[in-house]
Amino acid sequence: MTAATTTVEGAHVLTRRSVFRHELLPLYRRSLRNWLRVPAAVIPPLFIPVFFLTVNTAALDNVAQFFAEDYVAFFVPVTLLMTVATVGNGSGMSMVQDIDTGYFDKLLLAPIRRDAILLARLMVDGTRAALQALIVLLVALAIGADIATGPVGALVAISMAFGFGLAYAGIGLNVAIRTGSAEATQSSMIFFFPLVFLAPSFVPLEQMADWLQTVARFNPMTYVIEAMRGLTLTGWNGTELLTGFAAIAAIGTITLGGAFRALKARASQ
Amino acid sequence: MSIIEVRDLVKVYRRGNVRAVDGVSLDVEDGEIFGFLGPNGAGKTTTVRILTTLLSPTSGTAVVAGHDVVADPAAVRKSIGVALQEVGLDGLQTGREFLELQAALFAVADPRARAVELLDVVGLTDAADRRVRTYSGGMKRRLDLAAGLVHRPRVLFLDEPTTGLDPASRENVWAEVRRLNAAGTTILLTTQYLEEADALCDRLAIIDQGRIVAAGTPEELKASVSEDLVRLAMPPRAKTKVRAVLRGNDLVTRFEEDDGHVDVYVTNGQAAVPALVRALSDSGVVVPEISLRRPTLDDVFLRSTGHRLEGADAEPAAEPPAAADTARRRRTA
Repeated sequence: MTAATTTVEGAHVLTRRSVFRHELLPLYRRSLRNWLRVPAAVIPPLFIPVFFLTVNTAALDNVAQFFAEDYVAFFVPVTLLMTVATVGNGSGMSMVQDIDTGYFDKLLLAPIRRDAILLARLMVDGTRAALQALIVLLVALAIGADIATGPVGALVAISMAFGFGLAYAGIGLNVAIRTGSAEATQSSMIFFFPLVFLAPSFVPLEQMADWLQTVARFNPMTYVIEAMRGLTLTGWNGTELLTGFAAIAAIGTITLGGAFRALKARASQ
Repeated sequence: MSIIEVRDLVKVYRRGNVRAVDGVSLDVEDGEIFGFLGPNGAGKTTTVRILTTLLSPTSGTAVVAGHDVVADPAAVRKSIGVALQEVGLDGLQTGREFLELQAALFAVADPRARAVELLDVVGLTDAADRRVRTYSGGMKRRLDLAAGLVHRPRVLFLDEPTTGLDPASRENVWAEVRRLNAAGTTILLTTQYLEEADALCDRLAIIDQGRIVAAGTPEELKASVSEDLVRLAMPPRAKTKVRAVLRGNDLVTRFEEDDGHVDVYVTNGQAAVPALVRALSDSGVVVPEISLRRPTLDDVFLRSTGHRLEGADAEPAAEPPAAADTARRRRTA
């Protein structure tokens, strides 16, 4: 033990404390443990994307030949994004639960940085997103997807899914912290539909109706999907990748910025 | 030396424009058990939430353990332990994990050892490795209290620590509060139970509608009610004579009749009982039953507020305070 201790107030309390060791790590461990202790929170988020991947690609395999030789590789990016989006919803719900049980108050009463409460949760979300994306990717490979950019490209695709997962979690966390309501947080899932359906998720952009193409170009998700699809289907494309990461950063700045502001407001009401 | 100093504290909830705390000033001395007695919605919980840095005041100042709650909330948090009305636990963790995490967050040097120590203190060693969701209400309350003690705080805030507990659990909490206080911890507790305030508190403040209406030791408060209560069983067919005797006696300040009894408020109970018996007897009335009751905190409450402490020493009302508390937490900031 290198840190100094004090017994000034009768307690054996460390005077020098580390944000990581005394705040983030214990909170991270707690949330991770809670996630693993509810099997119902671990299995379905994997089942739904894998189901989509296998069934959807099987159903559309012949039709898809018109625009993609390997429809599994074409569809993998959307599957990965769906997977990590479930993480975000779960994260918001866990936050609501903490608020509802009064545990959130207990955290506010601890002498820790308030941001650490949210950061630790995002660390768990990131872990979950990366793990789930990896599993879904392995399933995709097992059913015959061929990743154009190889293992390195697969890792980049997972890192994009990871980034999007965090940015998307910001939506649910925002609603959760602002309202403390499970119903409202659950409803925030609907954001995923316009993001996915107003984007070239199922067919390439140029195959979509003109008006939808126009709308899709304003949807940051379009750039995330196209960057990931480049990795899985066509090959390395620096501009596409940069645009994709920039789109994630843009979504994240809005959603996570809002979540941290919401936390600040709730903590100082 | 005052360890808590509150001056003109006001909290107005923007939504509904509710003045929950309306100019509260108080001093809590180092080492005492100070009670906040009042009905649901009196402003007890709001005051505690301000003093524990969970809410910011609309105006006024509060200094806890030498630190201003608004200017230096982090320093306040290090000095205080808090057990709120609704336990803030995590059902998926075990009792041990929960306390270890809590100790880690307070940067206690050896969280594991401290958790073991506290589990023993609150009698949860046998249940230490069970998930908290399997605990009974009393066990949860004890774990929550232990969580507030990980860093051996100088000041402990207990918001309605016994509401909803059975009498045996209530006794346990009282014993624990006395033990902690004997070990040097200053305790501020809120309660809606007269008996609890009377039995546990060195000093207390009676709060109603956001204002402190009386403060002092339980004895001082009771002594401040200058009237004693003499209760007579009304003899049948003698009501008129009894009323005449009571009206003609200087010691009687007022009386109220109810269902076969008369409650007679007198300035000096010791002198009034024999005087009344004699006067009634002289009028030919034989009183089958007479008793003298000293003022209670409820009488203090009645005199200070004009009404009795609603549901005093009864089970919580139809809408438990916890529900209002949850609603407050849910509200958008």
